Amino acid sequence: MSTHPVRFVVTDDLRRSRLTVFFRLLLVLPHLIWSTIWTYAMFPLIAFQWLWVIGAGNMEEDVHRFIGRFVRYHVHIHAYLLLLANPWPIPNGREGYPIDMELAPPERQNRLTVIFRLILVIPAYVFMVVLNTVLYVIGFLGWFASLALGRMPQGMRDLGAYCLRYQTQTFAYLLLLTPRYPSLAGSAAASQPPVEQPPVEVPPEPEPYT
Amino acid sequence: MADAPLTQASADTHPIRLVNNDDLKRNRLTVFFRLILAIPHFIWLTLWLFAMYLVSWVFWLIALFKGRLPDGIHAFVSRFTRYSTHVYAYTSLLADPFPGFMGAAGTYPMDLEIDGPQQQNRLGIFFRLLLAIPAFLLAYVLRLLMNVLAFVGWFYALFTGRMSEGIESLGAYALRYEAQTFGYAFLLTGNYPSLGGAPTA
Repeated sequence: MSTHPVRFVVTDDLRRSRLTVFFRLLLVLPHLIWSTIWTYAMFPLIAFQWLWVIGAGNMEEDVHRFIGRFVRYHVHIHAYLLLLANPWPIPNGREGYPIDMELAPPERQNRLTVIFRLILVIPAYVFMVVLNTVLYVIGFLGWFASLALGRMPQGMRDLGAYCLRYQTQTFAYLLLLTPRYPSLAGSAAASQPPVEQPPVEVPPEPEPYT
Repeated sequence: MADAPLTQASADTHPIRLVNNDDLKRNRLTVFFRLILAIPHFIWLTLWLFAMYLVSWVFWLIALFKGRLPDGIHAFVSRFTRYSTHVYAYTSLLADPFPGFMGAAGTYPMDLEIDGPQQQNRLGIFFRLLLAIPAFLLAYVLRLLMNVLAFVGWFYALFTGRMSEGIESLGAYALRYEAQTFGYAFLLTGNYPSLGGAPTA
């Protein structure tokens, strides 16, 4: 299976500041206000892009990047709110947050699937709603765990990131960032911060027999 | 970053592990009638569950006194937990064959490996039901997820004759968490249900 165009990079170290965990709901309020304003501003753009992609078959690179930042900003807010990451996100949707989204460049899309995108997304949307419930329960339980331990249990963080990744792929599909349907398959690669390994001595290759 | 199968639950070190030997192939006829075919199991599972509720108080007192479940009781509760896993795997389309009724080990593609009884903290046993509440909450949500997966998987299996690997991996993860929660609540183990082996983003 080829790589999904919407991928997650998790470099979070699981450590949590008890103080910011305790006040997380309050601290996230400015982000929620800003994201609401941004969301309203996106409606006409998305409607126009829908018509554009039906006509042209793909999205302009600049617009693709801009909508990508909008989706990435939502990833950062949710990761922060639901304790999947610790730092306060910068409200510009740029890369560099411990739970981040990588987005492949725009590809050509089948016009028929673009026209019916709102209908096609329904099964994925149903999954997303259920996975969101899991995500919020993890956020709720994780709040107590983080307050008690000063860190987020890795199982909770991984499952939460998985749910958030599915949600992001669903939104990316809906907002025409990609023609690829959201994937339930997980990936173990590149989800952890790189661990420095001691250099391994490679024994010299034996002389070939002649 | 390449997509890969979810981390297998059997790889973790929890005393209750899920072993997944399913080949993803599905018989369309039994998939179509799955809920009807499962009725005898629903009846038997309900009876067994009722019996468990009646005797689990006695088991709780014995465990509280001894600090662990006696071997015979542990084997009985293991069979019940394993049987419920087989039935849920069958009804959620995570496996294809019709399960046996006795919860015997090694008889089903989606099976449980359960370690022998361990000494447990008596305080942990005393407050077990209270301690299990967060796990039950999560298990409940994961059960909801499994039902949705089964619903979508039903159409998928009917059309393709096989189960989607993504659906099965996530379903197996949820099923394992549920089995570990049962095992913890029914005193099979003192280890809290593990979210380890979670699908990663």
